[in-house]
Amino acid sequence: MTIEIHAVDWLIIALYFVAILGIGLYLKRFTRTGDDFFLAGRRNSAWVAGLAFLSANLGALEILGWTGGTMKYGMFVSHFYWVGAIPAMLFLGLYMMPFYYSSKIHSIPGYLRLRFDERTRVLNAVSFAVMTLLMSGINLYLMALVFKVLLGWDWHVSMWASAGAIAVYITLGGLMSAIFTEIVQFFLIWAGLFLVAVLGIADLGGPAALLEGLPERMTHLWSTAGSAADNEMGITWLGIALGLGFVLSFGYWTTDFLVVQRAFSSRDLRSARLTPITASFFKMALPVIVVGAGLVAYRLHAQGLLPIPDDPTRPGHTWNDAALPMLIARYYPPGLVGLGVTALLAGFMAGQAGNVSAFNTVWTYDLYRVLIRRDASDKHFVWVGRVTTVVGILLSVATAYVAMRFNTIMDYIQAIFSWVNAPLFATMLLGMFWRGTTSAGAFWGLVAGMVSSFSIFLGFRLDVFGPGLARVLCFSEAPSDMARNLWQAWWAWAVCAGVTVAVSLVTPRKSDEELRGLVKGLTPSPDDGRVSWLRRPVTWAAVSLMVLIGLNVWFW
Amino acid sequence: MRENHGPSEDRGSPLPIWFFVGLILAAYGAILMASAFLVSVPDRIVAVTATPPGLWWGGGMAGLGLVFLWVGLRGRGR
Repeated sequence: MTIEIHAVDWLIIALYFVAILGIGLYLKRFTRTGDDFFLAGRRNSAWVAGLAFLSANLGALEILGWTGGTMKYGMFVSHFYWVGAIPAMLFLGLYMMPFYYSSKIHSIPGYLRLRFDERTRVLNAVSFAVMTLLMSGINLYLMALVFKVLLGWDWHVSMWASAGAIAVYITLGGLMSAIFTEIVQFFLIWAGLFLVAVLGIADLGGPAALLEGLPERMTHLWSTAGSAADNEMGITWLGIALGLGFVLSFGYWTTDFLVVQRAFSSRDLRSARLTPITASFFKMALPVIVVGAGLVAYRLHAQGLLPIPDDPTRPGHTWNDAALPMLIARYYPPGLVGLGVTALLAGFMAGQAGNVSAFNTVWTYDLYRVLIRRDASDKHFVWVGRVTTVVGILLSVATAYVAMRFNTIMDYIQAIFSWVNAPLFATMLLGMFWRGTTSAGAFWGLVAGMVSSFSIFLGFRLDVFGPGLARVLCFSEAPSDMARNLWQAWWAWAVCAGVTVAVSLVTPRKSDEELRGLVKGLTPSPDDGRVSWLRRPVTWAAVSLMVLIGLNVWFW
Repeated sequence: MRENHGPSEDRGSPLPIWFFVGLILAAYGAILMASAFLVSVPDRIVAVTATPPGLWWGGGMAGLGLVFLWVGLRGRGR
């Protein structure tokens, strides 16, 4: 079952490669210093940084995965785009960005070094680097898998062609190349995938007819969250609010360097604060594509009108992730098929480029400069960044080949966000908002949070935890994988926060002088008094929040 | 101690990203419109929209691309 590709489709795909390589080549002349390569010269507007901020998160894996997820969970998937993203993005823009941006750091581990100490920085840098490379490799493997099964493309050609193109344009233009191609990807995703949802909804008679034909438990956000048995995700409103809305969401959006790095490239503090706030509006719009197409696929598949292949990694199970490409095959004529495939390709490649550009910064500034060569010229570090890009890509390809042979590795990697980001959010929150947080408290809290998250994951994975413990940890004797992930994140955060506070109470803290500019109460608040209210971050954050509330009430 | 940033000498700025976005959207829009005339549309798609989607969708993309090209060229050197 493969999608037919015509000459005009190939032309569109080839043009994409020409465009991104051309952009990389063009930007090389503007990329000479460390700031140019690792922070895109710190000259981006809130619009550019905001779209890149969103695009770094908006990989094809997410789009394919959540479109397929909608077939299983219905509109509950919107939680991941609304309550599971927007409050965290607004919090980052309003409250956390002043500490990040004003301290002139290159990376999140760089903040940990300033606020705490070198060992906390190295611990986070190593875990982030490993997570990033693994994610990049898995991204590459799944891209090759999608194109192999649905388009009949050769594994090796898919992986090496996309990895090679990314290596070239990131090595040439650094973060600026990544940001430019991410924004191109953003427009290609809307141009290439929005139409498929529109045509599908029109085919089924419009939005009202689409929703009328669906089971009640698939069309609401909160009214079916009173009990885990009332919705397909098997989770209550408390799990959504604490696990997703608080820990996982805040952990990802406020501390994951992959996305926050884009805000660091802004030209001033106001633009940096507006970066996630601008992105929040586009994030809220994405369910139009993802959930819209997923619901259309559910209806068509139930009527036998949309063939979906079996999962190549789990024979006998429908491969819901293939729903979106199958909708493209159904609704798009030649030409538009090329645009849809290019949108997916761009999504895969931009996601991987984001991982690689974040990895080269963390490796260069937080590991190489700390552990290997402390005193070197700016030019030397740019060279290291370029070499690291190529090495990172090669390690990603190697990970992809490992995943190809042992695809159970993916189950572990899916949970890695909970190991790294959830406890880190507790460390950041306490570090930024409580002066009493000590370096020892932060380090041991982070270690305890990561270990507890990993232990809970293994406990369920290896069936060590029975229904009794499941009820204590997840408020359900038989939680779904998704519910377990959300509660696992919550416990990792809680353990990290508890240990950090306990250790901080008995260990010496830094002086106020050392914490100036890094902690609430010792950092001047951003002064927006001189700009009109229309240009103030708080104004747009309020508008975004109102839209979020309106959407949740609408689909209650 | 804050981290040291390399000196940022003034070498001019690259063309705004909007220029490249405009170029790509306009090129893709033109190709889609041309393909709407050259390639036949399957019946199942005609049942949803009588006009070939490549024509109106490609036209919209080309128009948007031209707007972005204008914005990009206007912002050059700023």
